[in-house]
Amino acid sequence: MNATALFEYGLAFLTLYVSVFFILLLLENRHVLKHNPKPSRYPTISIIIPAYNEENSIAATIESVLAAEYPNKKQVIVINDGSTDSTLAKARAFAKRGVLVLNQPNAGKGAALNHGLRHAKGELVATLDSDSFIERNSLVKLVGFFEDPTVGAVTSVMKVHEPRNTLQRLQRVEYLITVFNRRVLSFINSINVTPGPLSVFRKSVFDKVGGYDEHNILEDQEMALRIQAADYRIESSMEGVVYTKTPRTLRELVRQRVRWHRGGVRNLLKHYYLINPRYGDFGTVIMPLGILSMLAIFVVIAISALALLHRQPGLLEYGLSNFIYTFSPMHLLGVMIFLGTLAWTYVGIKSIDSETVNPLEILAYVVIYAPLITLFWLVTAFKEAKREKLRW
Amino acid sequence: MRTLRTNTYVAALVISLLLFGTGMLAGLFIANQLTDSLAKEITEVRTRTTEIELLFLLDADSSSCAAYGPQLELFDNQTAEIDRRVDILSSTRGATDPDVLTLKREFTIMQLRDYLFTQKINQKCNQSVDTLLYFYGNNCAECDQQGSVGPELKRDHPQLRIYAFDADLSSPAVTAIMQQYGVKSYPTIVVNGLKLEGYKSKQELEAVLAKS
Repeated sequence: MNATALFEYGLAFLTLYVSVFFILLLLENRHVLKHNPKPSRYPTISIIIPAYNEENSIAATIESVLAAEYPNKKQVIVINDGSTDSTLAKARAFAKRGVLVLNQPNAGKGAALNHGLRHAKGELVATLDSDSFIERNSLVKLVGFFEDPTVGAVTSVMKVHEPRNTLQRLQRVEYLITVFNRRVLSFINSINVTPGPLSVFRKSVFDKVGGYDEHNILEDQEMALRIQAADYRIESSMEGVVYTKTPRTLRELVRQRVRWHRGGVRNLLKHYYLINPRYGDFGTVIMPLGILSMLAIFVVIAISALALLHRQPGLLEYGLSNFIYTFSPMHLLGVMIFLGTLAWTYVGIKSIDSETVNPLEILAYVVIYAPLITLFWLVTAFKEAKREKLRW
Repeated sequence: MRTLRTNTYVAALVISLLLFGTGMLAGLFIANQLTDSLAKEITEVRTRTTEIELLFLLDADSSSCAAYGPQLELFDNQTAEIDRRVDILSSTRGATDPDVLTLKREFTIMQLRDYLFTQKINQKCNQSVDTLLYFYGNNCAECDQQGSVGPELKRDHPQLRIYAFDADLSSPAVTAIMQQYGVKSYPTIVVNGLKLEGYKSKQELEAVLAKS
């Protein structure tokens, strides 16, 4: 067995192992999977909306917050981060309806969030992106988790706002399965991101871990890592929904994901100390797994590139008969993992009550996203090699 | 203090080892079945050649000449399929895989016998079935290009019998036939006994075939 084969079988085993672990985790927690605690009281809440050049959506975003039911005080803060369009004027129109509108020269999302935090009066703080919209019951569904005093933050159900083209419909599937995966990760308190579109925090958490990192291009993930480091629980709701706008073209999507990956790598390096058994499952398994899977992607890309370069002429033309005649145990393991991924995605999305998804869409998602992820990482590596400037 | 779900990790390890083991065993079983079936097909074809050879030996007055044609054609189809499969196998498992090497050698010997036999039938039955021998080796830049000419030629001239030999296989039989025709470089093609060195296009080969 050569080195390549050894790596491939090793990776297949690791994938199988991780999959089985998560299946067991899901089975052990199946009774609390859909548990969404009802609050016995409603703490005061501040909703912080940082906005940069969002004149087309900011009004609808604010409207959705004002329309949201909440049986206690609800403070709405919009921070205009030096927009060059009419965002500020659009936001100021809501001042007479009690919205606090702050203005600052352009300083980035992290700075805008911190600006809002300084004015937040609520016991809880929700951060909401200015291109995202919440449902009437979203806030009510999210605050119940804070009855547990160890909970520092709660993540929401992120959905794609009005998916129109194929790429957005694929992202819709991705977002939904991510919600489910995050819920499963919450069972071992290993959520590593409190997404910007909508997350709720206990205000005292910021007093303890500090405000947002103002120079970070993935500040919502960086915050979650610090909350983990402070040993809070990060919970995940499968009912409190936020709709967010997503990239329409492949170009925009690649741009977004490359930002996530480049920011993600930096955050891993910044908080490498979390790889420590002291942080339980998160430090022992989930953090190292994140790094391992990142490295694995590049080794897989290298192996595939070598195989393509050295391929014998005529090999690809054989197609299916090639698969049959050259059958090796790897094929069977591959089929096993592929079917497992399909099943997991199907079951996961089905468990989100408010959504239905066509099995064909799931198949398309699993098949199309694998090469897409490769593309994201290749562009990421390329930009890193070029030392291209990081931009939000 | 944070916890580690040791039990779940251990249970997952046991289950995934079982799954992995089952997958590997089942996979190896299926892979072996496929190699076996290929080997079986080669044996079957070999038996058929032996049968035709026997027929040839028993037949003193060339009264069976009519029977050879269809037999050889059948043989031709089967070898083409086997050739294809050995080819795929060698490109994925690697040319140095012991299974691949054995299959390749068996296949080469089979081809060589078929070639010699075709020549004998040509003599005995007074017919002229065209033959083309193609010798190739590793590290031969023109061989990839030359290799693709064979199937094209075969498509337009189904009666032509093409035999490809890998010189690097170090099979004594291949060495012997290479000596017979004085093959020293690759690619070398022998059309109806006439040696041609270097890359030859389909048109060039067709011209040679038309003349001989």
